[in-house]
Order: sequence, then C-alpha cells, then structure tokens
Amino acid sequence: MRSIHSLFGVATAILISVIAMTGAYLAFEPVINQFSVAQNSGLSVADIAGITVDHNPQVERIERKANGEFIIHAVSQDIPTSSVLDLQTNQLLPKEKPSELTQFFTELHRSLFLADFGRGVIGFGAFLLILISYSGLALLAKRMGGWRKIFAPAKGTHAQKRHIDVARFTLLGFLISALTGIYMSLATFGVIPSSSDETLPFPDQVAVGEKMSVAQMQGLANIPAASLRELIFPYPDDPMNVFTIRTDQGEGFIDQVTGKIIAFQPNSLWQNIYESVYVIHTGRGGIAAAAFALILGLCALAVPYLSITGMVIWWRRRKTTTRAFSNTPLSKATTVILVGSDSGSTWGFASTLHEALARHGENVHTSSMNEVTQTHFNASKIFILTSTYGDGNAPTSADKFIEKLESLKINSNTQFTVLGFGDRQFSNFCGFAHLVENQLLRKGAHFFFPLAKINQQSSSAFKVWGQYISRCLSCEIVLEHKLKRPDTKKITLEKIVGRSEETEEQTAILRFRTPRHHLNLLGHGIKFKAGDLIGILPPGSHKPRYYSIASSSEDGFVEICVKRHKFGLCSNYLLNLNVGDEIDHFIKENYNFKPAPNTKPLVMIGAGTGIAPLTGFARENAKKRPTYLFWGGRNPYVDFIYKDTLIDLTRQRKLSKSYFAFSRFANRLYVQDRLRSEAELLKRLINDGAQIMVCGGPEMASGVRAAIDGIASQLGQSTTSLQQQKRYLEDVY
Amino acid sequence: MRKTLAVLAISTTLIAPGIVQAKNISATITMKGFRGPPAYVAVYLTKPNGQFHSTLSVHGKKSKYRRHLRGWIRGASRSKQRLDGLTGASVGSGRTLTVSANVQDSLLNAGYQVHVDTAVEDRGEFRSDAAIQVNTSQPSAVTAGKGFVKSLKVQLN
Repeated sequence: MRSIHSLFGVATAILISVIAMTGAYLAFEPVINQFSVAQNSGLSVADIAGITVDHNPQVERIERKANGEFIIHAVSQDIPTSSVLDLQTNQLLPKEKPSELTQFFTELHRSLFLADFGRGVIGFGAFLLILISYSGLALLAKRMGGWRKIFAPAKGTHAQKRHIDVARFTLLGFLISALTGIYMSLATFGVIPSSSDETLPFPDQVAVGEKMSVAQMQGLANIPAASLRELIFPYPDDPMNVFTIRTDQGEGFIDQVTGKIIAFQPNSLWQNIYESVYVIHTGRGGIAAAAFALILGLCALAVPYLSITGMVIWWRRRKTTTRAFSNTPLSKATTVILVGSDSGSTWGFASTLHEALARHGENVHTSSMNEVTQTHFNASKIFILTSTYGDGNAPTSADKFIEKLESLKINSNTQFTVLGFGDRQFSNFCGFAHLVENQLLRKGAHFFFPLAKINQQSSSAFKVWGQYISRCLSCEIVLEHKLKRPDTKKITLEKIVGRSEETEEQTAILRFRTPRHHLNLLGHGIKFKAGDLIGILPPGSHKPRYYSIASSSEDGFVEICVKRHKFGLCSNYLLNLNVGDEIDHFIKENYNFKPAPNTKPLVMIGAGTGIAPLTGFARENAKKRPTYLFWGGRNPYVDFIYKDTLIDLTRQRKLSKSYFAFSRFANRLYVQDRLRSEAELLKRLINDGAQIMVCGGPEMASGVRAAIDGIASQLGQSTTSLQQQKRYLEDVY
Repeated sequence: MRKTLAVLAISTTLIAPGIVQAKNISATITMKGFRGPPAYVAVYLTKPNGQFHSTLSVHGKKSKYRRHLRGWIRGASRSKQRLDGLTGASVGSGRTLTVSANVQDSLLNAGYQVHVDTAVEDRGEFRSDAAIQVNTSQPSAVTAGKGFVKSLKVQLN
C-alpha cells in the first residue's frame, strides 16, 4: 500500500498539481460571475424573448448562462454580435469578452492544450489522484490504528504530520473534484452516455399562416425563464422553420404560427446525472453551487502542497532505508529479512545480509518489521534484525510488530533467527530483540540459530555471526559490512554555558550556533525542537553519538549537556573543544519524546545530563502550563550547572516548581526518593491528566518507574497504563 | 427530403457514372489562427431559396457537439442523407481543408451556395462563417470568413 502511494504520488506529482492548481483558479470564476448578475424571478421565456425582440429584431438565439445571465446572439449587417440582457433596465449591454487568462486555464485544466489526447491524460490523472487518496487513507488508518481513529492527532516527523493534517481535512474536497472530473471525462469519451447522440429532427410539418408575436406564445409563456438553456429563433425567410428550445427538462420545437410546442424530447436520466455532476464540478449553477465549488477549489490547493511534502517524506525514507539491492517479490521469496530500525543503520546491515544471501542464490525479500504479514511468515527462513529504542522498547519501524505477531500463525517448516543491535552500556542490552525472540518461542517458532547481539554496530561481530550462520545453513555467506558515514554539516561551538567543578566526570552545557536560513515551511533543513537528537561524529569516526537537544531551532542554537566518560571518544572530544571550533553533526527527530500539545500538567523527571531536553521543554512552555521538574544530581556545589537556567525559567513562570535530590550531599537522596516524598502532589497531578517525561540513564529510569508505579497504583494506574495513554514517556540513554 | 435532390452524391465513388452529367467542385477552407481546441466545421450546399440541400462534409467526431453548427444542423437533422464517409476530425488553428464533390450540371448556375459553419468550444460559433455561390462563369472564387474561417475558395473543374 505504501509503495502504491509513493510510486504514483511521486510519478504523477506534476500532472496532478497542474490539474489541481488550474482547477482552484477556475473555482473563483463562478463566484465572481454570480455576483455580477441580477437574479430574475417570475419571468417566463416569453417575457424574455419579448423584451429581446423589442430591442433587437434580428436576434438569432437567446442563451441563458448558469449564473443567470441572458446572452443575446444576433446578426447585424452580416456580422455576428453578442450582448447581455440587463433585467434591471431591460437594456441590451455589450457583452464583455471572457478573460484570456480564464480561457487559458480552462484549456489547460481540460486538455493541457493537447485536444482529446490531453483530455485522456487529465482523466487518467484524476483516476490516479483517487488511487493515491485511497492508498493514503488506508495507510493513515493503519498508522492511527483503525478507520475510526483517522482524525486522532497525527504522529511522525514534522513533514509527516503536516502531510497528514492537510490531507485529512482537504481529501474529501479534492476527491469530489476528481470523481466528478472522471465522470465528465468518461462522458466525453462516450464511455458513459451523457446526452442522446441523435439531435431531435426538425418537424416536417408546420402550421401555415400569420406569425405570432413571441411574447404571446403559449409554449414559451409556460416555461420559467430560470429553466431556459437556449432559445433559437427561426430564420425570418424560412416559413418551414420553427423555434428550437432547450430547457433543463429537455429539448423541443415551437411552431411560429400557433406558438405551441410541437415536439418535445425530455432529457434522459443519463443527461440529468451528467448535469448534476457538471454543476458540482464547475460550480456553474447558482450561488450555492458556486460557493461549493470554491470550497472544492481551496481543497484542491492542498494537492500541490501534499505532492511536495509527500516527495520530501519519500526522499528522506529512501535515503535512510537505502535498499540498493533488488528485492524479490514477497510471493516468490524463500528467505525473508525483517528489519527494526530507528536511525537506518540496521537497514545497512540488512542490506549487506540481503546481498550476500542473494549472491548465494537465495530469493530474498526484505521488509520493515511493521510490514509483516502471514505471507512473510510462510517463507522457509526468516532473519529478524532489530535495534532497540531506549530501555528495551521497539524502534520506530518495529513498533507494531509485537501486536501484529499475535494474529500470525507460525508455520512449523519456517525457521527463525533474531539478531539484535545495541549498546552494552545499556542495562537492557538488545532488550527488544530479546522480547521478539521470547514472543516467537512462546508461539512455538523453530530457530535455526539462537539470538545473537551486535554491540555498537561492530562490523567484525557481524562478520563472525555470518560465519556461524554459514555453518548452520551449510553454505558460504561472507558478510563484509562497511559503515556508511552519515551526511553531516558543520556547526560552530558558540558558548560554554556552564561547566561542573569536577575533573573525572565533568559535565558541561555547550551551545552551537545554527545557520538561520535553513528554516522553511516543509520542516526541511535544520528544524528541531527540544528532545530531538543531535548526532555527532568525532573526527575519524563513522559512528555517530547522539545527544538530546535542550533548545529549538527558533532559539538559533543547539544546546546539549555532555558528561565526560573516562574512555569516551566523543565526550572527551566535545569537552575539550574551544569556542569557535567546528564539529560534524546531523539532526535526528525524536518524535516519541515530545510533550503532548495540551495544557495539562507536565511532570519532568531527570538525572544528570538528562535534564537537558527537560529544560528545553520548559523553555518552549509559552502557554505556561503547570510544569514540575524533579532532578537528581550529585552535589549542589559541583554539578548543579543548570541552576541559573532553572531560576530564569521559574521567574518567567515557564516552570512551576522544581524538586532536587543530591546523591553525594547531606541526605544522599536519589530522584526517585524525592518522587516518593511528593507522592500527594504527584497523585493530584496524575489525576488531573498529567504527562510524565523521564530522561536519564537506565538505572535511574527503572528506579523512577518503580516509584511512579507505587504512587500510580493508589489511583488504579501504572506506568504501563500511563504509557499506553502516551502519558509516560521515557528517553533512556 | 425529395428523392431527386438526394441523388447529389459527394464523392466520385458514390455517383453512378453516365446517369447524370456532373462536374467536380472543390472547396478549400483555410482557418484563421485561433486559440482553444480544434474547430468543428460543416461544409454544405443550400438551395437558391436558402434552404439546406446536402452535406459535403462534417469535421468533428462527437455528434453531440455538432448541434453548434447551427445552419447545418437545421437542415441535416431533417435530411435522410447518410454521413458515412463524409466526416473527418476537427480542424486546428491555421489548418487548410479541402472538400471535393461531384455536382450535377443542372445545379451549377441555379443559385446553389457552398456554406461553411464553424464552432470552437467556449470560443464561439458562426452560422455561415463563409459562403460562395456556385457559378460556371467564375470557375474559381474566393471569399473571406467572418469567424474562424480565413478564406473559402471554390473551384470547378
């Protein structure tokens, strides 16, 4: 579904945008025309014809436009003329020529100036738009967890959120335009009947005698002027001739001697349907239709916007999940690789594995873990390669896997293996890979090789794993994985805001200046908020280290808090920088760790450098929602480097109250102890719908979890239940 | 339509040789430069009293749009003449179009006229955009159009 959406979306972006933009322009025309016309009421066609003949006896044809305007076509001295009947003054006024621009856009919108071939292309474009809309809706429903939830707040990157928000409020509008457009296109090509092809033949017999004055003709007097489409006068010198009239009901002839209708053919059902479709699509048919068309036109304006944001999303996804290999169609695959990844590095390993297996002659299909279906599970070999987010959570491309796994059947001939990617510094190393393995074992899956773990993207460990796999499968698979250095930009250290008074485990607040000109409405370039991550590459390294950002792009700088690790390559590099030095960096969104956009209380809990994104959230708290900070440090005289910032934020009422615990001072308290002593406050806040955000190391995170569980249990809640309501968020490093 | 007049056939293949004396006439229509989609064009003969006689050719495939060729449709809708072989594609801006037909000698100097009706979607329609009387004393005659037709030239040979 996603590939349909992306493929057609990208391939037809320009065509669909042209149709939509020209359509939007044309939507204004009926509204403008509508206001320039005085509406007539109670007049009959005979009245209109009488007035016209009084002013211009040479009239050939009276035409009523959809906006109610009567156009008089006549011939004077052999030159055709057109004028407008002004019903307020009963005068004929010269007709203004339609604007060239409108005609240009009409032609472009209809046929791209390519006659019937162009009309076909346009119709096909409208069809693709429907296909793209439908696949987009299905993707959205999947993402939100069901069709009923498609209007829930969107998740995702900036660009994704905007794409979704704009799409779901305009989709119905441009779908109506596309569907009616296709209908008209099919009618033009005769696939759907629109009107009877046969013209009603002129009558063979007419009455002979004195011609009647038009104003007195009963056939015309019985027809309201508002339902007229066209009245064609007989040639003055042709006694055989008759009046031809077309109304919204049908077409007929009126005898010029008796003034009676002598033949009438009502519109067919198809013609009536066509006319309704035409009115909806063009807005030509009264003030309500014009207003409706204007709404459709405004919705159509979203189409080019969606094309652009869609392409940005597609391009970024392509960049992170570079599938340089050729993916065997799922139905033909005997080997399946499922990937769980956040930053895209696991995709790189998956791609190396994929190519190695393919070279060996296997039919390999690679998907993200979230895309898993029963068909994947019918392959004979399944490799699951996954990283872990935070403390044992699923990475973005696998966050629906465990849920989906429940409904999948394990085929007894299918053999699995799981390879985890992670960092040994975490207490729960490869926690999610463990969870996946356990769930598979519980369902009775067979493993051809037990869970293996790769520490810090080690290429050599990956190669060794490949040798084990080779032995298991009795084949020769060589896994030579080269880490790709991510695209980075330079950024300059502007200021060292604070530095702790230690040497061993020194912490510092660093500010880097961001170039201003990168901000734009697509969330392109460098656009970030507090809680997003900055990836930093120390010189000579291909492996980025991530730090939480304490500022947003509007501040004009990236602020991070760094703690020195004894043998840490990156932390030592950063803490030894001088103001003015440049580093290589890139920004990575971390949309799982953002305060909910409401005004309910916010409880922020952090320890050590985990305070950095939390101060950022407080700095962004323009609405002054009640915000509480719990922070654990070591010694208020040594590492309390955020003291001044916190005082400022409290003074600006962006931070309601702060609570501190110091582990190497006075009472030797940890932040979880401080939570327990404020249990009553926390209970009240949780009852008020508070959101809790935790940032820090894994030990602190599990301590906090236990403390909050203890408090929440008295309210019948738990961290798990709060997590499901997105009211308990963790960023653990 | 009376049988005697319906005999007037349009292409040489449709006329049985030797039954009537006939001359070939050809009408060359040159379009002006105009904007919009290609034009619908009808070329037809009218009787001396101005009434429709017969179709020489119709250009534009969709019959529902042919109603806009107003002079032609009045007669053609009553006529029993079959249009098979007389239709062609709509005519683009600046293009030239030649229609030839065999006409009975008896009609040549009787006041029959060649008419051209034109219509372009959303840009206007012209009944008798151009018209020329068929006359043996003037084997080649040209006239200017008042709408989408730049010139109409009728030749006898």
